[in-house]
Amino acid sequence: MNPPILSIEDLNVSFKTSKGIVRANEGISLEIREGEILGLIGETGCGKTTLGKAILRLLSGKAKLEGKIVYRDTDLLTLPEKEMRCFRGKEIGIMLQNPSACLNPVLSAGRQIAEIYRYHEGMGKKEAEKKAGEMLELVGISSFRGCEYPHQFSGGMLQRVMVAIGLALRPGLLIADEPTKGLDTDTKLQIVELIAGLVRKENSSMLLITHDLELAGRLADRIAVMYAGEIIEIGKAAEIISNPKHPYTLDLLHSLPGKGFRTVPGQPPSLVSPPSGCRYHPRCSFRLEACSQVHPELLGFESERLTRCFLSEMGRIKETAAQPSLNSQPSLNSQPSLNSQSALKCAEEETWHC
Amino acid sequence: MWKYISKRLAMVSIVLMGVTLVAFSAMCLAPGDPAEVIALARYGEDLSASQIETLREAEGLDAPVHVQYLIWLNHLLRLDLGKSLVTSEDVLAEIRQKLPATAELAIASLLISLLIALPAGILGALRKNTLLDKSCMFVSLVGVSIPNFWLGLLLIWLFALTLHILPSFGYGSLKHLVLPALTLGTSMSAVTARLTRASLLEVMGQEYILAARARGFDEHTILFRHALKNAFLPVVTFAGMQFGYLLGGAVIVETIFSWPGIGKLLVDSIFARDFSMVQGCVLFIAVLFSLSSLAVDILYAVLDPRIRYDRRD
Ligand SMILES: Nc1ncnc2c1ncn2[C@@H]1O[C@H](COP(=O)(O)OP(=O)(O)O)[C@@H](O)[C@H]1O
Ligand code: SF4
Ligand SMILES: [Mg+2]
Repeated sequence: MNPPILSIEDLNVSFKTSKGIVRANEGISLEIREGEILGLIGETGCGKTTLGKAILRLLSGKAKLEGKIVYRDTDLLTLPEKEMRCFRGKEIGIMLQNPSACLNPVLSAGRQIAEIYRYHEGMGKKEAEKKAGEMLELVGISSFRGCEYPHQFSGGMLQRVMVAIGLALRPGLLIADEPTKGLDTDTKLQIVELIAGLVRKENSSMLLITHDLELAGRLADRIAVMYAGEIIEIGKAAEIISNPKHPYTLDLLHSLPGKGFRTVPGQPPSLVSPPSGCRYHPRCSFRLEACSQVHPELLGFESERLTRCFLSEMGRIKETAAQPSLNSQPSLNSQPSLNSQSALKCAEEETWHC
Repeated sequence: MWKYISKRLAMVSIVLMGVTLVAFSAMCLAPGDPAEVIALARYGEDLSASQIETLREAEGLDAPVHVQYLIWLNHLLRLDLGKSLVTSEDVLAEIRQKLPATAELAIASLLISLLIALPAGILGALRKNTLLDKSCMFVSLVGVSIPNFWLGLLLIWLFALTLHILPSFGYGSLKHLVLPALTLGTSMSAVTARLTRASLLEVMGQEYILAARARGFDEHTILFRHALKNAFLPVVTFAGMQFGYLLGGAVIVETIFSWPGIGKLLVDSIFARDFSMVQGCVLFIAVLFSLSSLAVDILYAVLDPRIRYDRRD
């Protein structure tokens, strides 16, 4: 297992707004390892973008950040702004959501790439433009389009320009926020394969933020699932997809076109006053009585796998006390048995204590 | 871009057409018989009915109105604005003679206003809601509300009557230019400063500024390389319109400072009932204004690639 390139420890991010304090990230702890692609998934409004921006300290002044974000050996949250700038772009690249808004409309695409080299590497105009051209070619745009302006590119092409900008300085970590949003299926695949290919080739790491579980499953090494500002499940991508342990992950999987297309009922909650107990309980079809009162911890019972749900704690029970009633099928198929009241009843007593 | 420009050109020609109609009909609709008005203005006394008839024929005023308009338009196209009713000077020659003074004042005022407004607006936006910003905006609010003539009188009182360092009126030297240009410039700067501030604030809130920050640029680079070009787009339009307006002569300020420009010519002609001169001035001002707005539109297209390059190419 590679050492982490970025580790986030107990990160809390909140925004002061007129409606109250929005707790967009709560108690986030995760690692991104060297050379790893970590998928971060969850519905809109779960705090994914906030987490991505928090890493580079790009949130507005209203945001309050607590905790630790350590890149290699540096805690980014304690750095003075001036030193923080050396990390942006150079060590950690970010492709923000919505490329058409992220590119300056009055500067040509080539210039927006070239100026990165001029600023960070002190290159002259000619040299920087040449590098920008190479970068464009690398992402599949012919270099003579460098003189064109953002509004002259299609959505997929704009996203490629964003990739070129994000990777211009060969950062150790690339954060890609919804790089496929608004693209058609074919373009989607091309773009993510392009990004993932370049990241793997450089042996860089990537945080791939997406609401597309399928995409994350295809590209990521590990997946973290976020709900209402919290990480609720994290593990190897293949395992998350084949054997989701958290009901939310399961519901997300069921909402995939190939897996029933059943959208998760209800809406993600407001982060000003999230539901008590387990934040997913109002929408959860496996809800126990305890769920609305006690907040489950993110716990791991297998290596590399953490889940924030009482059911998975009972999974542990399952192996000891409740073994007969909960058979050992993967939980994707075990919906009926998970629902079976007798099994839950006997386990519930245990859950109360945590 | 050519499509855009030709569209603007077509629009300006329509506007100019309308302007000639209005200017012409103003003459026809003026109270009283035009021939009598001319007679009164030119000879200063009542003429006999037969003399007026002779004058009417001589001036072509006996033809039907639309024929008169076409004749008048025909003259216009040959840059013949007629002769002054009072002095019999050629109207266009008179205007041309006053233009340098007006242009001089316009350029000086525009420079002063930008010199005040741009730094104030930019500082205000960068230091939003600080004491500096609030005082800048307060001063500019006062600036917006103070009428020109009052500011002009105030400056005359201060610099000419009290401190005796600048002449209070007249034309000829740089010293004479200072007070009228300062009056116009400061009062214009108030709105420009607010516009600059608002525009820059909006741009600084855009996602592409955040994206530029995410590339590790410092605030200085972001302001000068990324924000200002966008923020100046509306400011350029506004300043261009102001300049066009100034070229038409700043009526009040030119009058207060006896500045021999087009504005003063207009006022003097009105008092002298010199209708053809008034008509010529109005027409000239309207044409200048339309042309300068056309120039601003073209400049906008040059600055904004979204207009310069159509989506199609
Ligand atoms: N600058 C901000 N000010 C106030 N609230 C914010 C801000 N940015 C995000 N939020 C809130 O934080 C929550 C998470 O948003 P976001 O991180 O964009 O989620 P996601 O990327 O998963 O869709 C949302 O409820 C959103 O309204
Ligand atoms: S803790 Fe309870 S409500 Fe929350 S996801 Fe698990 S079963 Fe559902
Ligand atoms: Mg988002």
